Amino acid sequence: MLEYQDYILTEFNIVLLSSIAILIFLIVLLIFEASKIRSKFGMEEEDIEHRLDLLRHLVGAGKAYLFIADKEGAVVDINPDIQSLMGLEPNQLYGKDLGIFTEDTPGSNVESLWQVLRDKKLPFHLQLRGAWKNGEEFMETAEIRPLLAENSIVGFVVSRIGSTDGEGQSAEGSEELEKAYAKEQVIVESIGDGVIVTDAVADIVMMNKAAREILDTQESEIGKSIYEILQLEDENSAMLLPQYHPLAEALEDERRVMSRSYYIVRNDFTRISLAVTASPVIVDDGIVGGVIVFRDITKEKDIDRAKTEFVSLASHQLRTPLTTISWYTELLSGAGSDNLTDEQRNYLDVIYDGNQRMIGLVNALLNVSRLELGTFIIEPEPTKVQDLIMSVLRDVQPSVEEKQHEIAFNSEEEMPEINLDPRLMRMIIQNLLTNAIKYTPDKGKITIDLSRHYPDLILKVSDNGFGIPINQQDRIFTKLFRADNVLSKNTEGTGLGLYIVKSVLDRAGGNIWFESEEGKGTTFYVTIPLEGMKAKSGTKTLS
Amino acid sequence: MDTENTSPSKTVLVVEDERPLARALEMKLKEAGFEVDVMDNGKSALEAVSQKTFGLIILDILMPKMNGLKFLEEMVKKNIEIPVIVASNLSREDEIKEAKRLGAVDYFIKSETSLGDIVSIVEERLNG
Repeated sequence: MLEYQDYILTEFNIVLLSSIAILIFLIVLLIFEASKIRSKFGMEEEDIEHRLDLLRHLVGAGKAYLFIADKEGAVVDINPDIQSLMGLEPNQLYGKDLGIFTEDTPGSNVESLWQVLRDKKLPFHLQLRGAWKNGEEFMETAEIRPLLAENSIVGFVVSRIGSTDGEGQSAEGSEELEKAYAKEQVIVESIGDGVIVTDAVADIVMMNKAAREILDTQESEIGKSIYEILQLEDENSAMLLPQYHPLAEALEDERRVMSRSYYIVRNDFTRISLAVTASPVIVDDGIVGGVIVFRDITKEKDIDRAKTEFVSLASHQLRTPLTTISWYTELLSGAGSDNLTDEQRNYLDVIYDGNQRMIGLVNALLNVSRLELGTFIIEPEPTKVQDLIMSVLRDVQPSVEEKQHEIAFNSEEEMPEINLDPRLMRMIIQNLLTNAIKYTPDKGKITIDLSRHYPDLILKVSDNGFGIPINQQDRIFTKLFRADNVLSKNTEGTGLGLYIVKSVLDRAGGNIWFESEEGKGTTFYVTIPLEGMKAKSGTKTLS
Repeated sequence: MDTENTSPSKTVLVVEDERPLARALEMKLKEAGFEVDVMDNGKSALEAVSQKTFGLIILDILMPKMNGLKFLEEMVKKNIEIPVIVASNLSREDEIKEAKRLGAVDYFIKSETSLGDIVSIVEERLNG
């Protein structure tokens, strides 16, 4: 029995020892993991803290900031209120080294303070000398803090201590701010579009994940110039100079800049198309930085191109058999006039007319698709609108005579040349005039008036025809629409004319509307800015 | 120097892959007194212009084997100088520009132009 007990004890010892060993091992493991986790959180907290610092100072919500300097210590941004705060002239401070403000810091080794600031990233206080307008000088205590991103210094902020905002206030306020910025940070980070935030001199302050992915970069680009990291090309693969960069424009002109026609070549040499929007960040009338948002639209552009190709090809395929009918009808009616009876000749005319209408429809559809895809061009040049009108009048003369209409054209005496696309303008005039002729019973009266009413050119086309019923008036500019009261009377035309005219005017900066009464007549008004049609680049002209 | 039956300057080369359209052009032009040759693709057209002189070429763009623009390019390479009028049913601005750049003297859209008008254009070019 003693043996048995010994045996059990021995076993127990072994089990005990093993358990302790395992326990120790587990504890060590736990400690190890815990420290890893802690340092991970610690780093993230630090990271967020510093990013928030940056954002907070850059957006200047902490009104107590006085200057922001770059990593060299040269002043790059000044709180616009600084004049009233400190009695200092903003212009005198840009580019100045922050060091000049620390000269008066009493009793301290300024150099070492700066050193500590740079090395340990610890802020310090200093005395700033200011002067009121009356010359009276004063000393203000301020704090210099480093601006950190990814743990390296990208700049410095000088803010007031004990400002009217109150230290107590800013202590409370800053927690709220931090929460708000943390939220914003997460939002920005999760945006699908690439977002890059820069300071006022276009150096990168923040880049979100999507930006990194689009630009195919793993490194931290913080502190680098946007012109280096987001190097844009135009359609012809020509590199965009920094001054034409959308962000430069946004900062220069203090407005939002949008474009869909930039390209970048990535590290793996693939070329992608970007839609870019750049905006300045303005606080209290001063630009403190910029934001550029971009999206990869290569696929969208490819689809657009495919659509355009398809439409072009489709219209070509449609036109070919239409040409066949047209030419053979021509051959038939030409072949020995005696061989055909009058009735046969008549039938041929009907076939020919039907065919012409189809050709017109194909052309109109082609135009419509170009309008919808936005691929059509507006090329303004100095044009005499009166001449265009006279030319169209000559064209429609036959139909005017046929219906025995009376047409009057009144134009202001001294009508200057206007910058507009003559082909498009002609199309607009032609459309309005042929409508007036078509939708007015025989022996009608049509008047065209051309005048100026600053800031626009006004074209007025009136008729005393069928008019447009009130309940159909809101659909006049829609595709393939013809009002009920004229559908049965006249089936010519495509129903696309006004839609095309309106779409073109919308893009060109003009306007069109009408007044009409059923049975009395219709007046169409077209306005075009006297300064000209807006130019529009594209790939196709409307025919 | 050439002793052909019909003076070469009155022979028209029609390059068109749509047979009915090519035939219609051929008939109408012959009726107007011109000699007409017809090819249905750029490649055979290129051979034709290498072997024979023509007064004028009416050229379609979309064709198999070698399209119209390629044909123009090859003509330029071979330094063959015959006036070319492009007859197409595409109305692509970029193609019109390209054709003109490659030396085409004129361009018309088939579905917008009657046979009579085409004959007038040819007469103007060849009869002066």
